[in-house]
This record gives sequence, structure tokens and C-alpha cells, in this order.
Amino acid sequence: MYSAGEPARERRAHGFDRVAIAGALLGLYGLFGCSYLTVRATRISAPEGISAFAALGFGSLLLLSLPMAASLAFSLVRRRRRRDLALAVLSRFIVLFCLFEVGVAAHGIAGPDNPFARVSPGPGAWLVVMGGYMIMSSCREAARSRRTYKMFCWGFWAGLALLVFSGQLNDLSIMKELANRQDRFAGELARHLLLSFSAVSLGLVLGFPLGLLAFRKKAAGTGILAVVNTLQTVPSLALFGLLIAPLAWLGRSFPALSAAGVGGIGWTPALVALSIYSLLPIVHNTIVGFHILDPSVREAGKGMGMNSWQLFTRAEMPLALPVIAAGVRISGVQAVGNTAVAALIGAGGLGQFIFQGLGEAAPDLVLLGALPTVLLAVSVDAIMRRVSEWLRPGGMEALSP
Amino acid sequence: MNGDRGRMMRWLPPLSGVVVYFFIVSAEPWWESFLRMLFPSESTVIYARATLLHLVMRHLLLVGLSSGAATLLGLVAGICVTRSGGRDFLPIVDDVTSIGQTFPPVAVLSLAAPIMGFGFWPAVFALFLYGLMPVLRNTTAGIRSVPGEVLEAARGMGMSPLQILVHVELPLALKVIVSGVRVSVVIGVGTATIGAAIGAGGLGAPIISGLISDNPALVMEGAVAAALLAIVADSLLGAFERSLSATQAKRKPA
Amino acid sequence: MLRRIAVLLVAMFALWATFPHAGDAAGKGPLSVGSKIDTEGALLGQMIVILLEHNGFDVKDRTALGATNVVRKALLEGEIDIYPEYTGNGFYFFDGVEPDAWTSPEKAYELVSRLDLEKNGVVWLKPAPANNTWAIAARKDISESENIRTLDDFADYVNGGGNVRLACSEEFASRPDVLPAFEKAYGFHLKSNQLLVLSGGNTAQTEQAASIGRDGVNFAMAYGTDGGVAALGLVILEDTREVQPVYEPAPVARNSVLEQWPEIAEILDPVFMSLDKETLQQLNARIAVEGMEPSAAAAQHLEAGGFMD
Repeated sequence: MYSAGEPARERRAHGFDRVAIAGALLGLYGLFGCSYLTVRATRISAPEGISAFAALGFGSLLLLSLPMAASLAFSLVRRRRRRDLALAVLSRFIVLFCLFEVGVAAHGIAGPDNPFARVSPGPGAWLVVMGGYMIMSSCREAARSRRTYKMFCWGFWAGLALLVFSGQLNDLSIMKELANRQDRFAGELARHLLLSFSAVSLGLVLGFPLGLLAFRKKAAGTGILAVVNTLQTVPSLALFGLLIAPLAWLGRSFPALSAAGVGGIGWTPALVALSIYSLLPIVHNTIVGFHILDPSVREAGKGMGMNSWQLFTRAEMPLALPVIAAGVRISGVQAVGNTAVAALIGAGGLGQFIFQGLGEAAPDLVLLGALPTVLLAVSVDAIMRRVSEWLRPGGMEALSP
Repeated sequence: MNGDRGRMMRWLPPLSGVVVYFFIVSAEPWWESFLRMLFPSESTVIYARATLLHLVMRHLLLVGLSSGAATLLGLVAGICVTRSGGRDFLPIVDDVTSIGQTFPPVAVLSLAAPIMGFGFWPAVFALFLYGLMPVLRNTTAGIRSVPGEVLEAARGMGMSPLQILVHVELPLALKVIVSGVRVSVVIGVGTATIGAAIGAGGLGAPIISGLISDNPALVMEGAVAAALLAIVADSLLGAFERSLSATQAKRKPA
Repeated sequence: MLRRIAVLLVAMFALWATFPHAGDAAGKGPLSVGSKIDTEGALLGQMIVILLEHNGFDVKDRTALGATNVVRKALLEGEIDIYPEYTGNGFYFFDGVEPDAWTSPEKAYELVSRLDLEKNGVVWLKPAPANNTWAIAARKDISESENIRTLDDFADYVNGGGNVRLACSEEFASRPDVLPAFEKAYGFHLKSNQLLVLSGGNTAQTEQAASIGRDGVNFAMAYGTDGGVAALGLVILEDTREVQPVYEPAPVARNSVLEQWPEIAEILDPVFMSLDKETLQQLNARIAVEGMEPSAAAAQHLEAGGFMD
């Protein structure tokens, strides 16, 4: 009954939609069972929870709870297609409307009349969004056709973008923090991107040859892997810390370097450490990428009269590239996360807001740093997956007769 | 492979590493003279609020509690989600764990502080949440990788679902699961150093204290101890992982 | 395939090239302005930045650099040229010379400016008449119910076995001239379970902890000119025995810088002399409580005071 590989979809054709039921119940609990929004009198005051009824008013609460209840009802329907269509529509409406109403409530509580007040989504609002997401996810596989599904997806993202960019959510605490320091945010974001990007590039430039060397020469290989592995286990804050003293010494001993910005604190230890961390995934994946190559590929190439350079570039590299690209992807995601920690040693970046927010006891400043970091990491992951796909050779064009 | 000698060779380096590490870490005066030699111009070279051993124990407590809970819950959840009853939730769990992998650890920790406050327990909770992901992911992946034929055979032999879980699925998935636990622990050791920023104590405390007061000796004290701890923990778990494959190799029918 | 890789590399390079890099500007200088990483440091640092830029200097903004040690080291090593420092810190910099002099504003200023010029070639410009010294703040409710308004009352409360939990930073708890000095002068001692020590602690964190009552905290480390105190329902306890040195902020710069551009003193003196305790508290409140960026709060004050004409 539960063998591996049996698609969940087939089993659900005759049962309730359990995930949607769970999601709807979670959402209803969020609306009625716990505090919906968190309100602070000022940026640093104690938080207070307010219920959904107080935040939304009767009408909006109804508009939100009816679809939730309807989703619950629909998930009990056994006929899959109709149910899934209804659930797809309802769930997207729920999430978008919930966010819209949060913006309206924020405007009412912390709008222009009360500029110091701070409103952020509370546990209830998060539960509603999570519940909506669960319902959305449960009917994901069962879209009528790829096209309808894509339409739903795009519609949802468009709605979300509209919400954010139309300024509907501007009175939320996190948006207020952003509004207060837009230039600084742009600067730190750029710095974060530059650091992560440079680190991964350095990692690639160093790691690819190292990986090749490790692959070709077994003895060197085990040594290289051992060193890189060990460096990888070192906690990022510790590595940053370890590099401060030697780099400070370097900056003091060579004034030219110091003028160029090399020093104990700042971007230098961060860049060095981040590049070191980028090494392992790239070295490891380079080795694996070449390791899994089918020897018949080389044979075929040799048979076609290629010299070793052509063999390498036309036959081996294209096939190893997707695996190497996956290594670059892992490096990139890691680098984004570790760059946030580098703010502690004065390197700037989005982590600056996280630690400043922690220091000033302003939670939404922390969020202003943490949320973009997460979104950045997820985006890098998604983009690099696409790039990997794009790099996948369309058949072995170079070798096909 | 000569079983006993092989086993000894496998465990000797990590275990001796553990012993040496604790020996080094308890020798506070040795640290003081070492750091003073490196940084003669600093007035304080060693963290005054707690001994190094105390910091290490606290760090281990942070990681132990959170990884222990994460392993337990991750295992249970992973099993539940691969049963016939829970299979519906598998796609969501897959989504969450894959996003969880891209989530920077510092974000989880820093978001825990405004919600739960500063201190030891909020850090444990954040570390637990973050450590859950690798274990959960590897449990589901490991159990799902059990070949269908093996399960069929087991069912054919009349084993109950519970027996199949305990005697077939878990043993076959164990290596993958343990590798997930290893990732969880190593990342936990690393993230716990940042925990000092939200008042959790541990080896991050001298590092952050040193960063704030521009005292490289303190930074070095915490950083070296933390780096060595991570390496020792990783090699210990690595040896455990390898011993599992050896046991599995022994189990295969001749 | 190679073409694809080439395209990728070119794209990467183009992306890298579009990142904003520091540009050059013309003008007097360049001058690097630093400051400590706390609210008031950022505020005063930004005031210096804005004023100097307004007067034609090419300024490198390195405010919010780090803690006292970090910034002072940066000044002495020439990494920054000017930053706001507190007169009372002279006691700390010059190894406890003349311990009794520091509780008087005039004596403190005279002593630190003389010593720093003699020993380090560092000049102290005119200070602001505001004492931003270490203090202990109490929750309003406990202050009223137990009648604790001064540190004498606090000492009596502690010694009488009262329920105390003080949130403070590392520096506050271990620096001999702060908590130990209070304990010695007022005759009380706080055990470690009566302290909540936050590793990199900042008065905003400690004050918020007391305000919320997190972990049973009912007293907090504070600074005399903190902006959030009133908003958080806290009361600063008076240091009746004047244990703490007086900490008045003043711009400090290396002598070589001031010799090259003596007009800096004329530009900055009037502004600093206009900052009294209430003004600083208000400005700090705008940043901490209302969420204004330090540069915006600084600009607002400068424009309102007519310093930008």
C-alpha cells in the first residue's frame, strides 16, 4: 500500500483531500483562535496582539472565513477535478485577500495619524497564509491542464506584486522601516550581492582547477578534499574571527594594501572566508562531475579523432557542466547566508539590519534584514537551477554522427 | 577487512581527537599564556566571565538539546509522512525542507529573538527548527529509496507494517538518515556560535565580545575553540557513519 | 556549448560591472568621519558629516564603526580623522589618572583635552552641555511602589532583599568604573543571578527587556540622554553621590587635521554647544522610538537651528 514511487495523486483520487482539510482548519484557527495582528505603540514598545475581529471588522472577517469554510467543505468532496479547481481559486483568493486586509488594518491603526505605531502580521495572520498555502499546494498536481495551472500561478504572483507595489502594504512595520532607510537599504543590498557574487566567482576560479587536479591525481585529490572539507566544517563566525588578526597584520605591514582597503575589519576577512566556503561544493562537484562520465564518451571522441583538448572541451566538459553548475548553486546559496553573518565584522550587507535591529530591539528592522536575505537565497537557488538546465547539453551534439 | 582492526582504525582518530580537545579546553592557564604570546599588547586576553570549558559545555548543551530534539522529531515526522496515512503531506514537507535548506541559519536565529526573546531557550528552539530540515529531508529520502521489490518481498513474507518499518525500511535508510543527522549537528555547532548574539552563551560569546571591544585575543579564543569543536564533532559522526556502512556490508548475504 | 559558457561569463562580468563602486568627489579633504555604533554616536557623527559637507569638504562617512576601542584606535592610526567622543572616557584612556576630577564637567574637559593633546596629538573641540553617563533605570511601577528614585534607594532595596533583575551589557557589568564603582560607592552587590548580561548589549535592548518585563527584568542599564526611556515607562535613578564621570560629547580630531583646516572648529563648535540634555534626548527618541534614520534626525536639527545657512 505504501511502496516507494507510487504517486500520491492516484491514491487521492478516491479520498478526502487531507492536506486541504488541515490547511483550512489551520486557517480557521488563525482567524478565530489566536491573535491576528501584533501592534506596538512605538518602534520599541511591548507588542500587543489583537484579534481578527478587532483588526478586520465583521464584513472582512466574513469575506475571509467564508472561503476558508468553503475550502473545508470542498475538500470533503470526493470528485477530484471539480474540487481541485474550486480549491485552487479559493486558496489564492484567501491569501491575497488576507494580505490586502492586513494592509488595510495597518493603515487604520498605524496610518498617517499614528506614524509611530507599528503593525505586523501576528500568529493568526501567518496561520491563515500558511493554511492557504497548504490548500494551494494540495491541488497543485491536479490542474486541469498545464495552461490553467500556469494561469493561476501567474495570476497569483501578479496579485502579490500588485499588492506590494501599489503601496497597499506601506503601513506595515517592515515597510515603514524600509521607507525610513531606503538609500541605506539599496546600498547594503548592493554590497551584499557584490560580496556573495565575488566570493562565489573566486571560489569557482580557484575551485575548478583544484577539482580538476584532484580528479586527475588521486593522491593530491584526497589531500585537497580533506583540507577543503575541514575548512567547511568551521563555523562561519569563527572563520571570520580567525582571519581578523592575520589580515590586520597584513594591512599594517603593507601600507599599499591598507590604502586599498585591506584590513582586519571589513570586507577583506569576509571575502576571504566566503571564498573559502565556496570551495567545497565546487571542488566536490567538479570531481563528481568528471567522475560520473561514461568512459564510452571518451572512446567515441577518440574514435572521431579528437585530440585531448577537443576531448576535454567538446566531450567531457559539457557533460560535467550541469553537476559543476549545481556546485556553484550550492555555493551561491551558502554565500548569501554567510554574507549576512559577515555584518558582525563590519562588512555590511543585509546582515547589518539584522544585527542593528537586534541591538536596537526593533524586531521589524531584523525582519528587514532577514526576509530579503531569505528571498535572495531562494532566488539565487531558482536562477542557478535554470542556468544548470540551460547548460545541459542538448544531446551530445558534438559527437552525434 | 579485518573487522576489529578496521574498526579500531576508524574510531581511533576521532575518539583521540575528543580526548585531546577536552584536555586542551580545560587547560585555561595554557590558553592564557598562548594568547598572551600572540597578542602581547592586549590587557585582557582571556574571556573573564566564564572559563573556556564552561563555554564549551554550554555550546554542547545548545547543540545537543536542539539536535537531539531535531533528530527525534525529524525521524518521527519523516516516518509519518511516508506512511500511507501521511503520504498526502509529503509534497508539502518536500517544499518546506527544500526552502529550509536555502534559508540562511542566521535568519532563523535572528527571527527567534524578537518573537521569543533573548537567551538560551530561544536559541535552542531556533537551532532545533533549523536542524530539523536535514534530518527530515534525509529521512524521507532514505525511506523512499527503499526498492519496491524489497517491500513486496517483505509483505510477501507476512511481515506487519510495523515489522517492515523496523526491520526493512529503517535499516536500509539508516545511512542516509545518519548523514542527515551529521549535517544537522555540524551546522548546529556553527549556528550556535552566532547564538551568542541573542544571549545564548557558548563559544560565540568571547568572539562577539572580542569583536565589540576590538580584542583579537578574545576572538581567537572563541574562534579556535569553536573551529576545533566543529571538526571533532564532524569526524566523530563521520566515523559513526562509516561504521554503519561496515555493519551493512557485513549484513549482506555472502 | 563553449558559446554558452562564454555568454554566461560575459553576463557575469556585466553584472559585476553594474554594481555601484565608490566614486570620486572634489573638495577639501578628504576627511573620514567616524562614530561609535550606538544611536547617539550615529546622530552626532551624522551631524559632523552633514555640516562638513555643507561647508565644502569631501567627507567619507564611516559612522557607526564599532565600540569605543575600535573607533579610538581608528583615529589614532589615521583610519578616521574625526569622531565624537565623551569627556568622561578620558578616565578610561589615561589609566585612571586623577580619579576625582572626572565628576566635574569643566575639570573633565580640561583634563582630557590637555592629556590627549600632550600624549596623542589629539584635539578636543567644544563639548555639548549634556551628561550622557552610565545610569540605572527602573520600571516606573516598581519605582513608585518601592519609592526608588535615587541609587541610594536602589541600594537599600537590594540590601533589603528586594526582587532585582538588572539587564545590562558585558561592559557595564565588568568595567571597573561602572557597575563595580556603583556597588562600591552605594554599598550594594548584585549576584550573577540578579543580572541578565547581554553579550553585545545595547541600552535599547536592556531598556526594552525591562519595559516588557522579559525574564523578570525590572531594572536596566541606561544612558543619561537615552531617547526611549520615557516612551518605555522607565525612570532613570539619580546618581546622588556622583559616582560616574561626566560624559559630555565633543568632536575629537588629530592635530594635523585641524592645523590643515582650522575652520573645522568654527563650523562644529556652535552646533555642539547647542545640544543640551533635553535636545539630545528628543533627537535620540526620534531615532530609536520613531525609527528615523540618524542622518535625517541630524539634518532636521541642523536646519531647525539655522546651522545650515
